Amino acid sequence: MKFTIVIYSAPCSSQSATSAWQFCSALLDGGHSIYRLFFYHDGVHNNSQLSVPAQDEINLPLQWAKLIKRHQIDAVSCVSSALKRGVLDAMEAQRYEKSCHNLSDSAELSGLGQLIDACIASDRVVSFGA
Amino acid sequence: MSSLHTVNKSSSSADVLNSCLRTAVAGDTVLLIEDGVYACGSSQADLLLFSELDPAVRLCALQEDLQARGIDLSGGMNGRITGRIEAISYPQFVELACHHARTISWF
Amino acid sequence: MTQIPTEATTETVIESTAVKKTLTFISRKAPYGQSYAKACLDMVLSASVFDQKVNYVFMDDGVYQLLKHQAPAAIHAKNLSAAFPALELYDIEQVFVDEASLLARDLSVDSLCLPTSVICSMEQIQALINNSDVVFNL
Repeated sequence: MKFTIVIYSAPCSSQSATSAWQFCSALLDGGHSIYRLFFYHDGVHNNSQLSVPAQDEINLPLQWAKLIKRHQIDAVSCVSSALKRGVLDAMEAQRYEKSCHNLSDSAELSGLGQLIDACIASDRVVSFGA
Repeated sequence: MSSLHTVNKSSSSADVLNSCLRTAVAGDTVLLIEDGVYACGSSQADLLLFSELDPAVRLCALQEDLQARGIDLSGGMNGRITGRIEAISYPQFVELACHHARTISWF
Repeated sequence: MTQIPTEATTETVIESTAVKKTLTFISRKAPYGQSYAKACLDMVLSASVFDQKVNYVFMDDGVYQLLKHQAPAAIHAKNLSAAFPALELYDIEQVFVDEASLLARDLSVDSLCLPTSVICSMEQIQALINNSDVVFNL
């Protein structure tokens, strides 16, 4: 089946984003596919390249990036959620005259229309929030 | 067409489990994940909630989260497990998401 | 005046525009203390802009979003309820409100700012869910 996964929560503040990643890993191992990962609300923090987890803790942004690249998954961070939380790509950083950009190169910024498109195109939509 | 419900909060911290169980119908599955698995510890309040639940609603708990929290379904935190809750793993979570028409996440 | 969220106007190619699914959004959080209420509203509007069948349901603390006389300027927040009269412009002609949630909070229909609210039973909400392709619950 084709899944869309919606992630609402930041990687370190709760278990939710880790649960989402574990679910994604299990569904891919089970032979299913992911149409889109949609990071919304605090979930956009999963796509920041600037987080530095402790050495003995899971680096979830890195794990997401690896999963996305390995399986060529379409990963979207909601642009308005990301802007207000300071997760910017190069274009937005330039537009808003910020000193740097931090969006992982495994994801792109886009709008809620991508989530609606994913709902239409997917067989199943599963959300993870805190 | 039935639904899979996931609940990730303990019933003592939030009313989410109660709202979920109010909404679930016969043929649905309620899957306790993350802190939701503390409901398997069978406080009197949780036991009452589950006893009032339609027997045709399947109850499961994610094994990885039970293990993380030291909850053993065979004996329970204080040996008071309902016996109605089935421990499942992530691959079975995926199967449930496929089997049911939709997944409703309660958080 | 309701602002159309920038997300909804982002150029998006939807490959399956002929498909119309039923999306139910259950909003269960109070406004202002957390941002889930606004996040849900934005999703509802986007779904409607992309021509999907939308059910907008208020349940648990979500019913507080519909209270009259909200004035959040004092906490430097935008008035969430100001957006609700514009729902009709998005072809959302009615919203569904869980009666039990109102009763549990000692709220009456008269407390609500949206006259198009349909007060419904859990059975009616279950029927909405049963006829939905996707349910968002936040």
